[in-house]
Amino acid sequence: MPPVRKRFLQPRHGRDGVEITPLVWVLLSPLALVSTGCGLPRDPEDTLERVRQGTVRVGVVHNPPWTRVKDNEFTGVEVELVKKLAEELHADVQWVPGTESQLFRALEHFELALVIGGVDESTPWKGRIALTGCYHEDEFVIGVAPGIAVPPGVDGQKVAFLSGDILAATLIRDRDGEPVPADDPPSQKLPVAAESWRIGQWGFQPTGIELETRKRVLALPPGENAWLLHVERFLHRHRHLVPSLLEGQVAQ
Amino acid sequence: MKPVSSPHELTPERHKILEKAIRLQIWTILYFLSVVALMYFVMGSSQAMKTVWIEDMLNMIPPAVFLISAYLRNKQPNEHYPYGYHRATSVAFLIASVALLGMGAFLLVDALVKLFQAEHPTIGAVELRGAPIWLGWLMYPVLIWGVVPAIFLGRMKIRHARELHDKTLYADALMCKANWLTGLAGMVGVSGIALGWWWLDAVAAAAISLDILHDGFKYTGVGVTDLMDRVPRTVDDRQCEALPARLETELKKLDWVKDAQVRLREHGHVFFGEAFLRPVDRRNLLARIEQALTTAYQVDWRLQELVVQLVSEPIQEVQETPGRGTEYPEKEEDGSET
Repeated sequence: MPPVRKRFLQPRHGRDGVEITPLVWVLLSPLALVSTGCGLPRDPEDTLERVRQGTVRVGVVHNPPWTRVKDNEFTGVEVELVKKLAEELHADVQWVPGTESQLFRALEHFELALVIGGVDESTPWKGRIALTGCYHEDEFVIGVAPGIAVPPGVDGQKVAFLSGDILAATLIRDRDGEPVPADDPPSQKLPVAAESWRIGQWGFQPTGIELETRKRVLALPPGENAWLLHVERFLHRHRHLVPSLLEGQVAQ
Repeated sequence: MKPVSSPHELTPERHKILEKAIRLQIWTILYFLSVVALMYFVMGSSQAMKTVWIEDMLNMIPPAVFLISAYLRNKQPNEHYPYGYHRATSVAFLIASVALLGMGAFLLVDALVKLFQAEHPTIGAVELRGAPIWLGWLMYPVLIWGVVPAIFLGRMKIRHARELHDKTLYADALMCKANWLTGLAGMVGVSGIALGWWWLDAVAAAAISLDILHDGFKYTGVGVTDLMDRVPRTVDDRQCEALPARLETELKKLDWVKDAQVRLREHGHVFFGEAFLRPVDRRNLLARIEQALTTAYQVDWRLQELVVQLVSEPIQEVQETPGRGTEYPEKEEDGSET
């Protein structure tokens, strides 16, 4: 054996006890595999493969205008997006309606490939499931009807909110405002706290006061990185459609 | 005997090395800050990456300890601290080692819990120049940035550490040099995730935390034995310092000394100690002791203070104890204070 090769194979002892042993070469093998392999990353539970072979099982939480579940009919912005995604993958969609905690638990155990329903980036399920990047920023703002004076701030003001939107009352109170429940559309002559698309729909003027930004994401099973990357790429290509989809849904 | 020890002074050449080492340590801290910041952005939920990240943060402790001790070594001994502040380094070193130990244990448990709960690490995409790219791929360059400069910094520091007899610097240099293993393990973990072997990430994280734990054990041992006045050891902790034996040889050469024994203890980078001399001739002892001290101080710059004790009885040899790596018997004197 030539001397150079021999030296390479034998354990070498550095001056300070660092050894290059066969163990290090074993450690290096995953690196070698990665450098040669294509089609990476891969899914530990093969979600993307299974979707490609036939069906994508999607959990749907009723949360208009993102998702709407009525008499086994599924509509909404995110439903439209998922239909497009499935079409691209030549897969059928199996819709599974349910509550958030039900569906997220199923997702955690790889029973579903996706859960939709206006999921917020700050969901407490964050660590246990995978979330895509934000595909749409939902601004929660203050708007005023035409002819109503724009308030300087929320502080000390009476501010209307849609009576079903409990979170809105909290946001107003956090800014020392006084929340007043209202119908859809609001009839009181008050500034209103709502999502910017609702303000636009009512023909109100935005005041420039922003209470919160809700980052919309889709929920995926944990660690299915190939599937996650696929969905992220899809959303990146199609997120420009969201405003028009939203308009269409709001108009319904 | 001086009630307050004299301020420690380095020779001009050594002072230059110290200044270089200080500059090197400031660069090390800045470098690790950049690594930690970059890693924070690409970490994802990989346990291996998180462990590498925390280790890189811990890597900033030894340079910080070194800089503190470099500041303290200029502080004069005073009424309240008659031996000066050299020991502060040992205390800081021990604290840092214990921190390493605790962090290593925590990370090991964290990795094992993730392994047994079969937690699949999720790594998503980031947008780079308008196109989504898998975050995992970005982890490789960041891990390489966390390894290659560290190796060179470590090599430079190890030289300075030997020249300055600085254990903190030495430990730090070794940690820097060993960083390549951590980086490699991090890459293995990320590769595991890419290949769909979720468990490899937790296994790599456990391996890295074992390494941290090992460093913690080693340096806690060094720190404790330093503070217990164990016989001084070389900066790489491989063998005993030859200095006590060399001092004894030099002192025995003096014509009025029949027998001599020296014991030293380490205070940070300098030595304090006692010399027990058995004179053959009792005339003019004061001048002779001063002459003996001049001889002793010329042997090594690290000898900060030597106290001479004259004894009349023959000096008893201490039995050699089977201590780890003791190359010569530790000697002790039981002579009374007369």
